[in-house]
Amino acid sequence: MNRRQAIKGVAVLIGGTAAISTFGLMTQSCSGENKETSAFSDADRELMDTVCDTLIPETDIPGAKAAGVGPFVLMMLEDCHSVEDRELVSVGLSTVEKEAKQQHGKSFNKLAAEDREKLLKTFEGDRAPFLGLIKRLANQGYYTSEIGATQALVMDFTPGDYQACVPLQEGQRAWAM
Amino acid sequence: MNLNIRAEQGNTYDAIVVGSGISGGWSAKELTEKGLKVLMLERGRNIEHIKDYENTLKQPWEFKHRGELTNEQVRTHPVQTRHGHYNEYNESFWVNDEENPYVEVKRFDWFRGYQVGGRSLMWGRGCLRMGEVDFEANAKEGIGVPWPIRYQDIAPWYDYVERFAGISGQAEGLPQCPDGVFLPPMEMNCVEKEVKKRIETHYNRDRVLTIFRMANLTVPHNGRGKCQNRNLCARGCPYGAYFSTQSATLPAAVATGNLTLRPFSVVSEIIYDKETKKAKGVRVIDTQTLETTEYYAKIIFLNASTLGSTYILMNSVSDAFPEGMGNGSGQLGHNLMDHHFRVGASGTYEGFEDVYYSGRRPAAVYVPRYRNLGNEKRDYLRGFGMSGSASRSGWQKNIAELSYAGEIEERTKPGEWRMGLAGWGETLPYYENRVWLDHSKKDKWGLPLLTIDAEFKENELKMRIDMKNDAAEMLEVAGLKNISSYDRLSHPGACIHEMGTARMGNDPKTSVLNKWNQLHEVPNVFVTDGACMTSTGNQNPSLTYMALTARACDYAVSALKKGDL
Repeated sequence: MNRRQAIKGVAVLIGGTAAISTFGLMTQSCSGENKETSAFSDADRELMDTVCDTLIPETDIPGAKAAGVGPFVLMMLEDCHSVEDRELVSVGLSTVEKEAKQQHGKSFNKLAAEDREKLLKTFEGDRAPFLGLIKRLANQGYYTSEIGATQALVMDFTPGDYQACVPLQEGQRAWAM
Repeated sequence: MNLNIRAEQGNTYDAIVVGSGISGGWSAKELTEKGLKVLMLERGRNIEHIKDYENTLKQPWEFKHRGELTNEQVRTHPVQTRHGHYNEYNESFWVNDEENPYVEVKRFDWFRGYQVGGRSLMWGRGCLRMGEVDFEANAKEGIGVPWPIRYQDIAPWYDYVERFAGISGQAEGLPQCPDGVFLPPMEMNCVEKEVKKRIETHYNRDRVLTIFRMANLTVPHNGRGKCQNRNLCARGCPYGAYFSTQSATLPAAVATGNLTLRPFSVVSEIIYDKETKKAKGVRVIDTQTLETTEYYAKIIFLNASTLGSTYILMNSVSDAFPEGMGNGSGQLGHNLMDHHFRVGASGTYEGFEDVYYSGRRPAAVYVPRYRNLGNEKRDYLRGFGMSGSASRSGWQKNIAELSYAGEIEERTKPGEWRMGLAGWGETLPYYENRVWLDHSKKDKWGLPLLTIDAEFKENELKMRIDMKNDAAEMLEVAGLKNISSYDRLSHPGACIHEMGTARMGNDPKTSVLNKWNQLHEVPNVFVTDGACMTSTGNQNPSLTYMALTARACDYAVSALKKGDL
C-alpha cells in the first residue's frame, strides 16, 4: 500500500467508527497493531526516532529516545493532525534521508550525532515547515513525558501554597507545569 | 406521545428547579433550606463530587495527547472545539454537538455542559460585583429597558452568596467594581507587583491593578479545603476548593433531606393551568427511557442556562401563550448578549531575572473598568475590564530554536518574563440579536431546534479600539518591552457569558421578568440564570446570577407562605 492509500485508509477508519467511543478509537489508532491504517512506514518511524533524538539528545538526563518522543510525534500526527500535515512530515523525512545519502553516502540513522545536527540545521526556517512541526511536537512530547517533566524540568503536581516571589537558585530549572 | 402519568401526588413537590449549574444549585440550596421539598431536574448525567473527576489526579504524561484533541473529537464537537475551553483534560464535561444540534443564522459559539453541576464544574471562577453605574446605565442612556433594581437592592445578596461561596479578593474601594465579603487575596508575583505600582502611579489610581476576585478558597471554608494552587480547576477539584454545585450548593441542599435530584431529565415545557393562571408543573423526557413524565409544584425555578431557560419558555405554548410562556411583551428570545473579548497586548519584562515563583495560582490580575466614568465620554457607551498575568516562559521557548547536546541548562532554565493584558467588554442589548425555535428541524427527542442570530455591532467595535490601545499603553507605562497588540474578534458565545433573552424590567409590555425574576404573566415561574439580564455590565456574570437567585428564592418562599403564590 502506498502512502496516499494508507492515508485514505485512516480517513475511512475514522469515518467508520463514529459510533465507537472516542477512547476506543484512540486506543486502536495508538496501539500500532493495525499497521494498515498508519500513514507512516517502519522506515519513517526509525527516522523520526533519530530526528527527535537529534533535537533532544541524551545528556546527563535521558533524551527523546528514552522518553518515547518519536512514537509520540507520529501518534499525534495520526490522531490529531490533518492528512496534509502527515504528508508534509512524510515528504520531509524522505528529504532528510535523501540528503543524508547524497552528502554522506549513508542513511541519516547511521550518521554521527554531529553530522545529524549539521544536516538538520540546513532545514531551518521557512525552507522546512515540516521540521517546525516536528520540533513543536517533539518538545511537547518530551517535556510533558515523565522523564522530561521530572528530570529535565521540575515537577510539582500539588504545590499547596503559591509563593509569589522566590529567589531563583543557581542552576534551577523551570517548572514542568 | 408516550405519556406515563403516575399518581399525580407522587410526582408533586413544593418546588421544581430546572437545571443544576451555578444558579440551579443555588435555587436548590435556598429553597430546601427554607423547608421546601424540591425536585431538581438535570438533562445530563450525574457527576459525583471527587469520585467522577476522572482526570483530576492525572499527571501530564497520563494524557495520551497531552491535552490536545483528536480528529474524531473535533468531528463530533464542531462547536466545542472552536475555542480552547474543551480539551483532553475535561472533554467529558462538554456537550456532544452532534447529538445536541442548534441552528446558527450567524455564527454563535454555544458552549454547553450537560451534566449535574453544568458549567459550574469548568467555569472561570471570576467573581465581580456589578456596580450602580451598570444598573443605571440603560435608564440613563435610553438603551433597552431600565433595570428594575439598583445596586442597593442586590448588595446584601452579593454579601450573602459571597459568604457561602468563598470569594478571595482585595478590597479597592471602586464603586464601579464594588468590594465584597472577601477571603484573603491571592498574591501577585514580582513583575505583577511592579506593573501594579507603575500603572497606579502613572494614572493616579484612575486605573487600578488588583488580584482577580475568585471563587477559589485561599483558606478552608465551610468544610471545604483550601486551594492547592494546581491550576487544574476545570478537571473538577478533589479539595472542593473552588465553588461548584458539587462542592458547595448541592451538599447543602442534600443535607436538608428535602432534595430529589433527577438526572437524564430534559424539560420540554412548563405546563400552564389556565384556571389558576399559574404554572402547574413541567413535562420531562427521560433521555434514557424516552418516557415522558409530568412533575408538579407550586413554584418553578428555571435555571437551565440563558438559552436553555428561554428555550423552555418558548416551547411552552398554550392558548393563553401562543408565542411562548410569559411572552406578552414579545421580548422573549430577544436582546441576546455576550461579552466581547480576545483583544489586548503582551510584552516582555527585562529584570527580575533572579526571581521566580512556586505554585500555579489559578487567578489572573485585573484592571477594573475606568472608561466612561465620571465626566469622561468616549465615542462608545459603557466600558471594559482587563485581565492578564505575568509569568516566565518554560519549555515552550525551545520550539523556536533547535536545541542540541550540551545546551541542557539553557533548554531547561526559566525563560524570560512575559505579561499580557486583555479586555472583556460590555455588549449592548439589541432587539434583533435573538433566538427562536425552528419547528422544521427536530433533535432526537423530537424537540424543535434553537436558532440563533446575533452579532456584535458598532459600539462593541469602537470599544475594542480602546481595549487594544489601552492594553498596549498600560504595558508600556509599566515598563514592558517588545509589546505587540492584537484584536482577534470572535463571535458571540465564545466568552460563555451569554445573557439576556428574558430580560427583567418594571414594565410587562417591554420585559419578561419583574424585579423578583418572576414572569410578569405567570407569577410562580422564576428565571434567575443569565436569561434575566437586562444589560451585561463588563463583569463576569455568575456572581450576579447567584445573588439574584438567592434574592428571588427568598421572595418566592415568603410570597408562598403569605399565600400569594
